[in-house]
Amino acid sequence: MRSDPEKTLVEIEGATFGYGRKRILTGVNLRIVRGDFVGLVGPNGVGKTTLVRAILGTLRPMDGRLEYGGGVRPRFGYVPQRGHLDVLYPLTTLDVVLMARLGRGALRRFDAEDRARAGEALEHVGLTDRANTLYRDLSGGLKQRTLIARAIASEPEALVLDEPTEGLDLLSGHAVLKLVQDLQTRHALTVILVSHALDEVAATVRSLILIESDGRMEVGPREEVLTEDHLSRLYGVPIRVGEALGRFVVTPASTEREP
Amino acid sequence: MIGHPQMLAEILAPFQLPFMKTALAAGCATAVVCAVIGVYVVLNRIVFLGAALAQLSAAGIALGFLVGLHTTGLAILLAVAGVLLLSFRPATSRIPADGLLGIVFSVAWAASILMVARSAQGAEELNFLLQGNILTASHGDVRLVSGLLAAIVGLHLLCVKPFVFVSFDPETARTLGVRTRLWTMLLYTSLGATIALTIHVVGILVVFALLVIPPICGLLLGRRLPSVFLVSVMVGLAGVVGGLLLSFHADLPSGPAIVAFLGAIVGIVRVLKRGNA
Repeated sequence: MRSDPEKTLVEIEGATFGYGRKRILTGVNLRIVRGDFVGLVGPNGVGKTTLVRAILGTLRPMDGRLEYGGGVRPRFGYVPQRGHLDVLYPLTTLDVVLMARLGRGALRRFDAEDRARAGEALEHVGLTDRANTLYRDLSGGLKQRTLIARAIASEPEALVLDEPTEGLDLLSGHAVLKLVQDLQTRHALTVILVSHALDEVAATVRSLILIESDGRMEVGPREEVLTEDHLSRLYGVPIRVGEALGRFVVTPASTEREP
Repeated sequence: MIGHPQMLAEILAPFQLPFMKTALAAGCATAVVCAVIGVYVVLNRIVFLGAALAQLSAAGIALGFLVGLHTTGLAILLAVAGVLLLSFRPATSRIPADGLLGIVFSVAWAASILMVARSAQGAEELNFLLQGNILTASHGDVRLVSGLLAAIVGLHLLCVKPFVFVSFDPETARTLGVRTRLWTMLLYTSLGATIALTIHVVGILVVFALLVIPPICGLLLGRRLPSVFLVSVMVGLAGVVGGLLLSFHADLPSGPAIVAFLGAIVGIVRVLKRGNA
């Protein structure tokens, strides 16, 4: 590996990813360093989930190279899209969080340590008093916290969150992002935040992976990637980038848009 | 009054008859095994997969009648082949999952009819496939279904956590290194084996009803997963006992009587739940 393996979480070089014979992303080059807070942004259907699966190691490259720092796949805490989970299941919040411990052996009986880690994770996200509430009875924001608690309970080195604020109201969305920021700082985690909502990602992360609609990628520190040129190309309309209230603001140069 | 001991004894009297005792044992074992595995069928929203596998198993039995081979063996073979075909289709397939199930279901159904049509006892065998006849269950059937019951219940007691995890959130399970394909395969194969082995005792109709109705009652009445399984088993048993008694006292075919009894139970449960909502 060319980069410092101690600092690298994952490095991808000239890789193609897809399903069956269908290629979704080609010529992927990126490196994620440990401890970074990375935003993965792009329009719907552009291949964000494919890249996430590649980083998680659940989708192998069709060609090219993907290597983890030190040659060992890190422990990932994954937070899937909330809407993908069926609320028909009669599972409590604690049941859902304990699932994380099955990564250590699918047939294991939960022991005191498993319960302690799950309890700590629920405490981190402020859900201790909801441990026995059915997951399906929680609000969207609390469901999201449960899934984050589950990811934390797996004692991860890196946290990957897929559209964590999708469908949440303004305050709940902000609370979830604040929670992720706190966890990143407290546990020195690498965080990869996937979203199509550029505004919220820009305000939260340090680095960006910007996937353009033609599959091209811009990768680097937020300030370098978040330029009017890149974003105008991404969305196909002129985009303006500025700062307000100490945060990045991204807005179309013209509000006119074809329906 | 049903609570009157003498009247209750009269109602339950048919179970003193040897053939009713055997039917009760076979039916109860089938009810328990279907009620347990049916919870996954309903939670995974694969009810139509259950129907397609049941029809494939029936086609296996019909093939056995036609060519004179072991009917249960062929039913298992086709059910497992169906599991492989239906549960592991490529993600990029252009045939939608429910479309593929529809094809398998209708072709297997047609094949069953066509195969038994060539047989001298065609109509009788077709009726047997659809309705089964629990009243003709043998001690061998009871042993077979009881063995299956022990195996399936044992498997599910041991593997309930990974089965639920890979069903609820396969993507996260895969990320954590849980072998989702293996567990899904094991779950679906146990479903296929259950259907194939019970269908020749009680018929497609009863197996399908026992896979769906008791678990739905469980989900309506049970708050957590253990109570869902418990209610499901109890409703399955009640359906078999009630259906057999209805069949005996009203001189009705046993399979449809069991399904009708189960239908009445789910109707009452639904009304009660609506009343409490």
